[in-house]
Amino acid sequence: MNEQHLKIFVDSATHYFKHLSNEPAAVQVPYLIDHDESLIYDYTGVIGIAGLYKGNVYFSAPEGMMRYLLTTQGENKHTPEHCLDVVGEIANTLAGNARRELGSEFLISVPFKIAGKPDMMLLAKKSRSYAIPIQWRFYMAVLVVSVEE
Amino acid sequence: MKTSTAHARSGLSKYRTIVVSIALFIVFDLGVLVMNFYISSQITKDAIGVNLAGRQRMLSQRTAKTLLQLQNATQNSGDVEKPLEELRKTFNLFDGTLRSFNEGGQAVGGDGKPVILERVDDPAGRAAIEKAFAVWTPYREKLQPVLTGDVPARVAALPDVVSYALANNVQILDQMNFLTTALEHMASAKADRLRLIQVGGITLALMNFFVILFHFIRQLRESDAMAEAARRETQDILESVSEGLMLLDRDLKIGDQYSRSLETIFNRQNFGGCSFPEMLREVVPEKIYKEASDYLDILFKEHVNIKLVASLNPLGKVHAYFDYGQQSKYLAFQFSRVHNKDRKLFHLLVTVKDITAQVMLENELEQSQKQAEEKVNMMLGILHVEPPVLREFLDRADRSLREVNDTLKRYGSKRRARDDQYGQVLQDIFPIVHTLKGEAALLELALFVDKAHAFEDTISELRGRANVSGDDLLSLTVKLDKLMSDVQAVREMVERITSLKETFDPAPATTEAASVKLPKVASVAPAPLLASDEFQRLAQKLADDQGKQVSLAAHGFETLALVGEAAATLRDALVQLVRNAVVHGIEVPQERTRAGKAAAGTVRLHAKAAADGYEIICHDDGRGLDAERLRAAALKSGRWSAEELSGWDEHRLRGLVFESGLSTAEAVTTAAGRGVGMDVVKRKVEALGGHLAFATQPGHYCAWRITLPGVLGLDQLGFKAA
Repeated sequence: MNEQHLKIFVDSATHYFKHLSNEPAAVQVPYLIDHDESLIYDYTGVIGIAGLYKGNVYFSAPEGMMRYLLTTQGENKHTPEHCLDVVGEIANTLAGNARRELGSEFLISVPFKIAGKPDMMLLAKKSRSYAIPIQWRFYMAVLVVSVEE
Repeated sequence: MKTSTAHARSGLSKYRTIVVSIALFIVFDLGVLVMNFYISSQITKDAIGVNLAGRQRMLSQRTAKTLLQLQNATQNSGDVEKPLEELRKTFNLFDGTLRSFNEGGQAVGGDGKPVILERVDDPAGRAAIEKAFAVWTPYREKLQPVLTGDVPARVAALPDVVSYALANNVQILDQMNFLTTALEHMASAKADRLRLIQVGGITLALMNFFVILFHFIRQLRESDAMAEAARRETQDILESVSEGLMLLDRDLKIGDQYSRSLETIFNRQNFGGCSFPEMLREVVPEKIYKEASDYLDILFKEHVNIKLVASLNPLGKVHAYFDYGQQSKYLAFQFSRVHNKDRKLFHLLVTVKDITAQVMLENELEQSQKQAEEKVNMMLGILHVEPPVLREFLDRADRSLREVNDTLKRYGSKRRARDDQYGQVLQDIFPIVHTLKGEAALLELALFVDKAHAFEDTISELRGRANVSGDDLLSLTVKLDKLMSDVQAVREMVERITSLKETFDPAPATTEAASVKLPKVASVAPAPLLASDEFQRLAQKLADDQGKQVSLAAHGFETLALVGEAAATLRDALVQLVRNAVVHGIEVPQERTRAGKAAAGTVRLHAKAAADGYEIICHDDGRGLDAERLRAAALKSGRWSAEELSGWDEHRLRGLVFESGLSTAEAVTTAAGRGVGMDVVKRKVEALGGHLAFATQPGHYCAWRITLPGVLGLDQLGFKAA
């Protein structure tokens, strides 16, 4: 996974916010996490990656951010289903852009979404995963790219 | 080819049979028709004959009757003209008709119009005519005076002719009856013949029809069977072939016949009649679609040599997306022209193969080769270092890189509060990377030196930017990940080399072997961190790189009771001091010679126990700390103005050596130029609770003194209760 590949995911996530709210999301200092580190918020959208590279990419955000996004879209109902829909939409955006931009080494799965905090996300064991914090308004979310060859 | 010739022959044979059969059918029908016409006309003539023969019977009786009326009128002085006229008319009609029957020729028909009668040749008819003539001839002669003579002659002839008429009238009637009957028989015979001909003709025509029918049914069945066999063969091929096959017409529409694999490859059905470009558009990027459309246009231009344009095929290897991008495949399209019998381009045969597995395999192979090459290079780059030393380095590198990551993580988990946050991150991680590079250089591990240097390049580039954002730092994280992976890969390699070494050279469990097997012990044991030969190699390499000559002497380090982190920290500091001495202190040989010094410079490392700890001195006989060069570097950095700097004395100027980012080197190299060095040394010494001081005489020497307190690092030995 090189920088160009990572940027595709990062740009997809930040453009989503810019497109939706006209307020860009800021990428904070990216770092690495080991497979046994848990980095997850209340709602998570995951896309699986297969092919020459294997693993997953997920966007995880706190409930507050999801609620705020719903409000921005004029949605007054903030049920967990609504929040899941938002995070699912972000995952769909990530998957769509990835399919369009990445090469054949990446086979992108149908996104799925998780509410709540599982004990552990399945991260790549052979190598570290990239944690890219994304700040939008007062909220911090994270984009985790966990892919190994 | 053979098959097609056979097909052509069988086609001709088939046509010949049908032509002959149809010709026969027509001949039979025409024959019947002609005969029908001929006999019908004969029957018509016969009917006239029968009709006129019947009229002769009536005329014979009317002649007799009119004669009697005439006699009666003559005897009673009545009107004779009317019966006479009637007699003349009846006579002429009977006589003319009888002559026509006898010789053939014109007669007056029933409607008063002339008709042609054929001579009666039928024996019975002939006999009747002759007998009738035998009676009629004297009758006629006797009638002549009545018809043409004057009144006396008529009156005179009348009794004789009446008498003759009464005597022969019945006979004439009989003969005319015979004639009529004979003519009727003749007509009936012709009608029978006509019927026979018709029946025969129709029978032949029917037979011919059944022959045609039978022949064609058989041929149709054979053709059907052949077509069915051919269809089944084609179907079997299309069902079982692994490639997707289809035919495109000039409108680029897909034909109804295509291989089953096409459905599997494209994840859809019902291709027949679909537009190929539109189908393509759904699965390949727009650019490829446009190129493919142009290419297909070219393929349908007959003057273009398909082999010459094959290399332009944009679909030779194409990445296609299916199910709205849920699935992707690599496909290879090939196009061949299909010509009709007139050698005109008729179709394009498209062959599609799913080459995903092949491409993936190629990629994996390429990746494996690349990794294997990297590993070989890596191995060549580490073989010169003893495994325990290397392991020690890897431990330290691992710690340093984790420290870098922890720093990133620390900043990454914060909300962005200040704009200079990123600058601070860069400042914090730079010395760590720099130190790592120094240690790698000490061991001549070019792999890590280069990567750490590239890492430094990125940091420097980012530090030089007016605005830095979080995603700019992504390249740092990627480099960090690669460096960590390299450390891990080298560690695995060291373990493998060690394992191999043990396999081929099973040594007794000596201290060295134990240290190999027990890396944790090695990390806390007083490993030869300060071995002078390593410093000598480092100094030598740096000098070589700079075109200098240097000798390094180290002594007294055996007295130092340093272990673990403390030893590593001191080692880092000393590495930096030696680098600084060679790069900045020692002059090039020419300069030294001009200054009256030996061409080779000397660096001395000396350690000794002091009253309250240790003292380590690094001394070089180089150019010393030049306050003016430091002033120029400070001015160049832009942090201070010329006016500010002009007021500084030499002591303060020399204090600039501890400023981060200030370098007197002219260019950035792996050895120097970042302006990071002495500040790191100072921090490290202070981290050990020690002090760093220097003494210098410009043009003669520069000496650094590290003073360390008491026993360092011994608490890390991990003593356990006995």
